[in-house]
Amino acid sequence: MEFVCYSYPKIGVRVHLDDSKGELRSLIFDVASTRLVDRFGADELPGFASWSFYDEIIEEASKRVARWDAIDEELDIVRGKIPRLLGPGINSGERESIGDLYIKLSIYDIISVPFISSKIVQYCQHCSTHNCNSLHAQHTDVYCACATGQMILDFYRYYYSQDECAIAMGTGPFGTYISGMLDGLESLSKNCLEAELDGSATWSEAKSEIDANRPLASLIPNHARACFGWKRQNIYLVSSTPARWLYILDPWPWNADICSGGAVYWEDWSAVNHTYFIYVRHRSTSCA
Amino acid sequence: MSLDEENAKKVSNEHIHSLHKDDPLFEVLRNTTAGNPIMVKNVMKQPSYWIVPLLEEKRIAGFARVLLNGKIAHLGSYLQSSGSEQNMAVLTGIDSSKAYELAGERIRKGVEFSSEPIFVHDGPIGREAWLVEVSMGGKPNRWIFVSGQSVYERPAGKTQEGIMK
Repeated sequence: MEFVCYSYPKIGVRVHLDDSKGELRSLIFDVASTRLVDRFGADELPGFASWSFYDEIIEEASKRVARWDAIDEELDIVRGKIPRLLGPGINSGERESIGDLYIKLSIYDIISVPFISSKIVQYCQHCSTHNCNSLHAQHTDVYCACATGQMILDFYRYYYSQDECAIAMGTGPFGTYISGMLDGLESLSKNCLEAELDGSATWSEAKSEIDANRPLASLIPNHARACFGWKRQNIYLVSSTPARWLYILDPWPWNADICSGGAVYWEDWSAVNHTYFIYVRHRSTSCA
Repeated sequence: MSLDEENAKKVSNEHIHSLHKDDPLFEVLRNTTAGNPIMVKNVMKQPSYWIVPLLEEKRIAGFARVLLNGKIAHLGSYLQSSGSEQNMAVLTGIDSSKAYELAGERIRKGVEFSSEPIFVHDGPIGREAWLVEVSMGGKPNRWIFVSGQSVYERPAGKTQEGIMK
């Protein structure tokens, strides 16, 4: 047993165990509540999850040593071509030559971290599965919430027309209120799903939902769309912000034939004002 | 910074062939190049962003919405995206003259006067429509929006509020 800081500043007790197969495992229990910590990673929602800052920034030591050696080797090659490399007064032509050399050396081949990571909601989380989403256009110019709800309910195998969604959501001639959308999502699932409004939407929260294989509704001013995935830039300049995107199924442009409208796109998180998310999850208690 | 048409094309081309080049979801965009951008204004008629067609040979395979600061807000494809380069209605839902004609059905001839259609986003980025401003007695009276075959309207100067469409 040992004390660990499992999510700064939270302290836990880590217990090392030998399981029946002789493999070493460890469990962490919060010291205050003695509750088992069963969620891991900095991408989890803040709270009861174990994560390490060092895990986020430090790669395996052997990889770091390999990269260090490779950079040394490259530097030797470059120095062989331009002996004055580290001396004063290097001119712009020589500087360009260094750039060319680096491209030839394919410096990026030795970096094992993928440039981009992404995840799309899948049909299941077993074996080789497939992406699970279907874009629907909104049936009328005021049915964005109905179409978005329909796409999410389809994922959970509750099949309704957008007119049925509109009735359940109380959609009027000018659109749908958020409260109506929340109520409609629950009633159409016979209350087996619960719809939760998040008024402080963040990209990490969307990512957590997608990682749990759940689509969500992304609301922007006066419009609703379905979100079925995330994408993130892993390698970026230190002073810059990594690009992050959401995979949006937008029911606009509307079309009376719902299979012939709408748009699907990667949305740059930082370019759009995201007002709310609606999370749709299986109810943890019984339906009704 | 205010991005001009040429730079909107340039930024789109760079984006397709860098950050999203290996994206299996947009394989259809891999061999595309940016076509001529269309300016999208806000309902107050101020420039807001460019929508740039992504062309595979002459076919519109997708689009990029490029903000005036050079940021690509959206990169994607339409469910129905089989339009040719000449048929920019794939991007705008309907062409300008048809939008004018549909809006015209709501205008009282001789009493009201209508502006030329302007391509706008009615609310958030992406919710695009043609706007025809109707004036009476020299003052803007109504805004008629045309999106695809759908026409809706509201009093001029009033923005959408509080309800999702």
